[in-house]
Amino acid sequence: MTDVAIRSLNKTFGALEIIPDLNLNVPDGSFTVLVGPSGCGKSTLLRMIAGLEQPTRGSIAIGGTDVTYEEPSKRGISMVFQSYALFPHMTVGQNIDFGMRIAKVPKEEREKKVAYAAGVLKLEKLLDRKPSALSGGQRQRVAIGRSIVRDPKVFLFDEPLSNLDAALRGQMRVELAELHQRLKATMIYVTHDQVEAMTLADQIVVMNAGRIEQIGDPLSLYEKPETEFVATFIGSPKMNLIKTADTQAMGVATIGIRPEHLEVCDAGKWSAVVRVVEKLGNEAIAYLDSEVGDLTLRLVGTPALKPGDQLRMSPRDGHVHYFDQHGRRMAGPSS
Amino acid sequence: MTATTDIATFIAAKRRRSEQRRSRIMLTLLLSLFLLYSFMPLAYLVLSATKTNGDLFTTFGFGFGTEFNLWQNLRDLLARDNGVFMRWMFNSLLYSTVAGLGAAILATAAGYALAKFKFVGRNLIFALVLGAVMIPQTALVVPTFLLLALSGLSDNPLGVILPSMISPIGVYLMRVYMEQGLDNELLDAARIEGAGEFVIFRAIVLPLVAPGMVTVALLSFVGTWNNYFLPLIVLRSPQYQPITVGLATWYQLAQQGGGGGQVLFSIIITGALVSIIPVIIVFLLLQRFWQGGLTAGAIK
Repeated sequence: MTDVAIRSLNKTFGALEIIPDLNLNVPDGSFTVLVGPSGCGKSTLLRMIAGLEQPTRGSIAIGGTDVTYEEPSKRGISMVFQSYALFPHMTVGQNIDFGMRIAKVPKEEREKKVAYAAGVLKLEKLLDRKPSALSGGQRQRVAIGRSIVRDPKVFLFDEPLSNLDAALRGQMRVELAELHQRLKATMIYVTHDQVEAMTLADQIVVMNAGRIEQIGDPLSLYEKPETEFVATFIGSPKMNLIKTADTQAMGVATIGIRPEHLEVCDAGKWSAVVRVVEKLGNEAIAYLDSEVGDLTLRLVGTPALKPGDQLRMSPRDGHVHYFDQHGRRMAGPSS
Repeated sequence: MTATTDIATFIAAKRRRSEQRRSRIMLTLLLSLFLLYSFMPLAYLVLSATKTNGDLFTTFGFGFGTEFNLWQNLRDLLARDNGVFMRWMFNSLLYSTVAGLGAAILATAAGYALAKFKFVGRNLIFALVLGAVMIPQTALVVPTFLLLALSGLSDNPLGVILPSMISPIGVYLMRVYMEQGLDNELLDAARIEGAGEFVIFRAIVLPLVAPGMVTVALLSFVGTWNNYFLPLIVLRSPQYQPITVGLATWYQLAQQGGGGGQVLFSIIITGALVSIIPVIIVFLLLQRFWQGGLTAGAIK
């Protein structure tokens, strides 16, 4: 049982309160992604779980044991960093078994574990190379290999893919998902990329200004965002938010409609002019100037739209999200 | 129309090439003058070391004498006062090497602490280090002597070595070098792997900052090798004297005309020539690191 339980956690740097009061449960074996904009405190939270930062108040328990003031190496965690953090003067093999050498693990066992990690991550032929002779993806695999041999209870990842190009990022996402399926370990992953969050997570924790906005599985966050912030942060292109006199007359501050939930029809509710069209092959994203403000529209296939075209549209039934003046989700219009 | 444009472009390009050539020639001339200026003392030293004592005062300074006397000068140098010159060389080498290594280790440790650890008074300490950079070492010699005298280290090689191991400029260089060139995530990764602070310093930090350390070691080596005032004040016994003090003693003797008088000048000149050889060798051996140490921080 290696769940992570965070209770009333607070982190203050001088007069600046980064994390006011945070409670979170990370279930055993889950792939939990902390997602949010830059500066929202997600990396600070991860570093506190790792023991690299001390919380100002509150507690952190891993597998039922309070580790709030425990040394990083004694928490049963491993961490993969954004910069890979490979020791440049050591070979791949030496990087992977560094921790075991420190812990004076017998050579035979070390070699066995390095061979296992190298096999899992396809690093067998690279063990004698220095990190400078590796590609970005290979370096990231070495960093993961260094984590695996520690047999951690919890894997921590701090934006591990953000230094990779788009193609490699996609490939590494799949590899991480496979690794999680294979190891079935608890993983906590920090990213500001909501695509990574949606594709990798069992559980997503959306953070904003040090607070948790919503916790849930990717689909529930997408389909039932609890706040305007989550609604716009999860999903790409982001949700359209519309504030008009009509909506306010209904007792709703804002209505939200996903770009794919706008329907083009002659009898549509709103008129709009096409500003830009992005044709992606399987779909097209149109950016519109409408009578209710800027809107984004997602259409399947390759529609014959071009800038300057006029069209009318309405939201699809059952796909409108309602938010009150505090940005919180409402069941529906009150009148 | 096109032909006119082509001709104008051709003339402009020609003018540009000519200007570039002219500025290249000017630059080369300027650098050559600077090179000549820098080499003049060395050339004078080399040429003078080949002369007899008589030629030293009667022939043109930047020309050879009537006979080539370098080997005889060297023999005289090594035989003078029962070969005390080699003792001075050994002393200088010992003081400079130990001070260079010590300064590199101390500056690295201090620079690491100032760059990577947050503690109360960190900025004050760094401000003091910066202030110390501004104080000329000569100004500190008398208080240093008093301190050494109180500690019983006057007329003791440690009285020269220990103060020479303190290098404020080295601490400053290493702090800047580590702040810019040593990624915090590397240290965090090592901590998570279970490495203690001493292991991190030895196994991660030292190998990565070796170029910076060599830079500090070289600066301190040369500083100690050239140091005259501190050993002059601290060391009284002839057997502890480094080469700077030893040659100066001979020079005073030569000026007074005693102990062999004027003959000493050619020996002193030859001694000065021999004394710069170890510094040149150390520079050549460590040049690779020296250059790396100077530029690594800048590139980052």
